[in-house]
Amino acid sequence: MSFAVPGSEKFVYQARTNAALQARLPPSLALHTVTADAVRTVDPLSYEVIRHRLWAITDEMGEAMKRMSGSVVVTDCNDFGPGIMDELGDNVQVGLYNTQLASSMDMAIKWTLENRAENPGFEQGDMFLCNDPWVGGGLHQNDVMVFAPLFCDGQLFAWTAAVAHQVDLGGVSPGSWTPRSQNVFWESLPTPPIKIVARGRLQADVEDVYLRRSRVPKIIALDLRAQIGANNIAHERIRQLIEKYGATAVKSVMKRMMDDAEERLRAKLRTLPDGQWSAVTYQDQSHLGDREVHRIVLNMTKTADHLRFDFTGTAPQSGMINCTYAGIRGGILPAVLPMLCGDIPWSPGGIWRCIDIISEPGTINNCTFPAGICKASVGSCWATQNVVTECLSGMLDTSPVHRKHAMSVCCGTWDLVVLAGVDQRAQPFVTMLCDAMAGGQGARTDLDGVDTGGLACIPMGRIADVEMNEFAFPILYLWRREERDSGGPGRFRGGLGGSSCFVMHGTEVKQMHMVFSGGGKALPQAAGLAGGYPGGTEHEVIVRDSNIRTLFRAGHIPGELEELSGGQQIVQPEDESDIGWDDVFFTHWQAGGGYGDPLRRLPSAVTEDLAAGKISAQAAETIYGVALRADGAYDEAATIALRERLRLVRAGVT
Amino acid sequence: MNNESTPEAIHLDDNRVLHADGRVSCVHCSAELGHHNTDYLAKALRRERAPEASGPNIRVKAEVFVDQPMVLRQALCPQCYVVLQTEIVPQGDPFFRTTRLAPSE
Repeated sequence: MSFAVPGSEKFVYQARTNAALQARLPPSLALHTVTADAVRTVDPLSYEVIRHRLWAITDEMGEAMKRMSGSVVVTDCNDFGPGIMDELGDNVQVGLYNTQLASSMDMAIKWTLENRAENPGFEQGDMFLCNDPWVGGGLHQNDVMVFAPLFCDGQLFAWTAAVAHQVDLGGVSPGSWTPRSQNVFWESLPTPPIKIVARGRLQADVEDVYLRRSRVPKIIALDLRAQIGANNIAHERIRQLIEKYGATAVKSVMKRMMDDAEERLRAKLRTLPDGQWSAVTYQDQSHLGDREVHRIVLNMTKTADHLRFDFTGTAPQSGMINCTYAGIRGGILPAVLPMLCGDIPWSPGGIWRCIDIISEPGTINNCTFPAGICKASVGSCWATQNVVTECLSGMLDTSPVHRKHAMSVCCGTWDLVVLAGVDQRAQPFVTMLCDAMAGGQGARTDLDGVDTGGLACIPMGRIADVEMNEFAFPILYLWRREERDSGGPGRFRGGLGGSSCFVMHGTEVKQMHMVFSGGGKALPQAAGLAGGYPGGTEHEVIVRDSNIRTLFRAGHIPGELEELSGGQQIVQPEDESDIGWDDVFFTHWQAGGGYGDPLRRLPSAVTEDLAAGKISAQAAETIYGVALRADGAYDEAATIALRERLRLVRAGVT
Repeated sequence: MNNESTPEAIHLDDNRVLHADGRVSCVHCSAELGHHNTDYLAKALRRERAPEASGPNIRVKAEVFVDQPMVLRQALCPQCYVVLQTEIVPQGDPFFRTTRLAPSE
């Protein structure tokens, strides 16, 4: 049951037209604007040069963050998102990093314009910090956005922003991901926009309030400086652009980029058939101890040059898997950008004009305060992305021209594992393991999904080297590898997911705390298309009191859990536990969904997969219907007969 | 009934084609699967099996994690038995996955 908390409504972003927003701004705030004529008449050469320069600036912001941060999540895994917005917060350019994080930057800036323009006001050199997903700027409290107004000749010209996942900002459980959460008060404190840098000076008192909540304030302080640095570099570069081309030209290009994105997306939509596509996805467990499944339903309507995403029928908010309205947007934009906008500027300010969202407040992907939201990013936001991907692919599949951009659902969610304890340098540490960044990608209509190819929502996501993880944290890997049979079977197979297996290593404190928060264990979340099967389920095991140290002393590194003695504890989707010195942890994240009937897959592709270890002989025969010979090749006549028999078995007509 | 796509026909995916007269048929064998005025899969064969029937990629039984039983639910062509739709869902859940193109002008 949801109810309104008096006073909390202030912190909820309200969608308004730019005219309505402008009317709420104090007259003292001068905005830099350009005429429609100036936008229309930008010369093509300047447009392309400045547009690409703005794009490059977001790349450079990312580089700045990676060079300054001390968190593996940022330095090695690229779990952050930079962006450039116009004077009213409309998003002109997002970088190729985490596009989920960049999906609600505009919300936070528009809220800030409405609520902070008079008090404390904006000046050149100011920066604001926000991690309140009801306001916007991120999906859960770990997503901290630092954003800065840029003035030109006394007028508010633009905003820049850098959002990055922070490894711990307090709350009941390490990593701020709290399976025990019953509401937001169990979690990290959401902070609406506060001025953390004033006229170029970091405000010590405000920073202290921010850092005090964390178990690892030094790392958070470093990330804060990385985000400030990213904004500084963006301002420096935009100023150089203004000096070279003039403010009017730069701003005209910014507006034109959004107009261009809108016009080109509308043009593309007009080439696709009108219709409705519906999809559903499920999350197993909403908190520790829960035994329910929670569904998100999407009915997507495409009419002429417009898309409507209607989530009516989605389950009521529950536990800690919920996301706010920012999460719905974070589920839509990361699917729309790669699938519909590969040849269109990634200017969400224009793209959003082609999209409507219908959603009921109080549901798991549009929750109301004070619902638990610590898993929002990989809970209901990610699940939203799954149904959006499915519906967009269904639409694209109807077009001979655009079919190649359809894709089954990628890695059904992020398999969250938080590690916390004392490291090999006798220092406390908390981190999110980012191995799941190598998720399996969905199959295409003419290609297999990319094995451990990454996540559609983080185009430049990376997996940290095993050696980097072993250097940074007190763990030793037994393996990290692609997992056989995990890709969704189909005429085109879903990309394989992977697994990691490790033990504690090198620390004097021989116990480590772990938080687990990954769904898709009771049922897979990466759906297939056109009859293609879903990708595999997520799977995690702790082998308790194993003989791993004995095996090490004997010079043997196990390659399978079955080689270990000890009790195998299957980890629940939402769980929290300690592991000890002799325990072994195994985590296997999800893969991509398949496309088409697996009995229509080329037998030669099946035997190639078998030879490469991507599928088992069992799957080759029982799912793909390929009769194998002793030499690993297939028997053509026997395969035809086997497939005929499997069709009947599958249909239940034998 | 024939399997030839007219210029007005739209391939919905790897297996289904929507004809100008509203029929939805199997791309592979021409069997009628449904109709634009009712349900695109109205005549498809519906089959439920245990999730493990989808292959070794289902690692652990659902009952370890949730109370509601899960099923592998498939829609198949009633004639050639090609699989048209595959999903693993809570048993008894409605059919949410649908496609419906707008009537052509």
